[in-house]
Amino acid sequence: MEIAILTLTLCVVVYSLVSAVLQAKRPFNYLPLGDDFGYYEMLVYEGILLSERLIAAANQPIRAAFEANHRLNHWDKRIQKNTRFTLVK
Amino acid sequence: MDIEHLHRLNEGLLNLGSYLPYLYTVLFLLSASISKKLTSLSIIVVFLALAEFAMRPITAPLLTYFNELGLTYTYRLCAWVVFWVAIARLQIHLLQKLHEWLNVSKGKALERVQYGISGIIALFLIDLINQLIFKTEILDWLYRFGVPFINFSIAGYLLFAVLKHVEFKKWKLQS
Repeated sequence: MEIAILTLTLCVVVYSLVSAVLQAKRPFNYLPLGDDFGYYEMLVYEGILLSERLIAAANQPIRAAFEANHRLNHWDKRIQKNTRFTLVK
Repeated sequence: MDIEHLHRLNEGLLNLGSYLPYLYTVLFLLSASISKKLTSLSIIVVFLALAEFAMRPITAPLLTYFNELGLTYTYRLCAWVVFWVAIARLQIHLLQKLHEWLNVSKGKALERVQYGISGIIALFLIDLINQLIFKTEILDWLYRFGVPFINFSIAGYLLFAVLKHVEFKKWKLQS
């Protein structure tokens, strides 16, 4: 029993130490999405980003291209939903 | 040096550490007045002030609670170490998450502070292994003085990092 608890404690401490160092190494950069842009501006930038990802997927395995295409299709659906009323005027 | 002197020095350092939230509050005001917006440094400083402020009063009651539980020394040690390691790990995680939630870039300051808190976790690991296996005096003192030392070096580094951005305007003769 005692050995089990000691092992568990050691595992918890070592795991938290390793994950802490890994998290300290993980960078985070300011994302220019959100309040700075209007909604449509944000959609346009998102579309540019997604299409760039699709182009960059040319050198990657086919699965990455499928995923990027799938995301771009979703973005296209959102655009159509949002511009449905503006096109009628 | 006598052992009593060392104990007194350790207690003095821990007492001095309880004044760190005041320093952090001043640093928050300074960094806010210098940069006029929410920066990475001000987030770190406010969070550390709150964390120190919350951790200080629970230390002594927690120790008496663990002592009154009637457990053997090994279990008490494990509970103590796991509790403080969890708190330190939570601090690192929340500092990272605060930057993601508030959408502020993570700079070198946050990385260094996170490494410092990881150092505290490492000291707890060293102390655990020492108390269970080696039982030497030197490692015990390393743990006792290491934790306040890391706290003070984090505070000193943040003081330096905030004061680095202070700009003094040169006095010019008006014609």
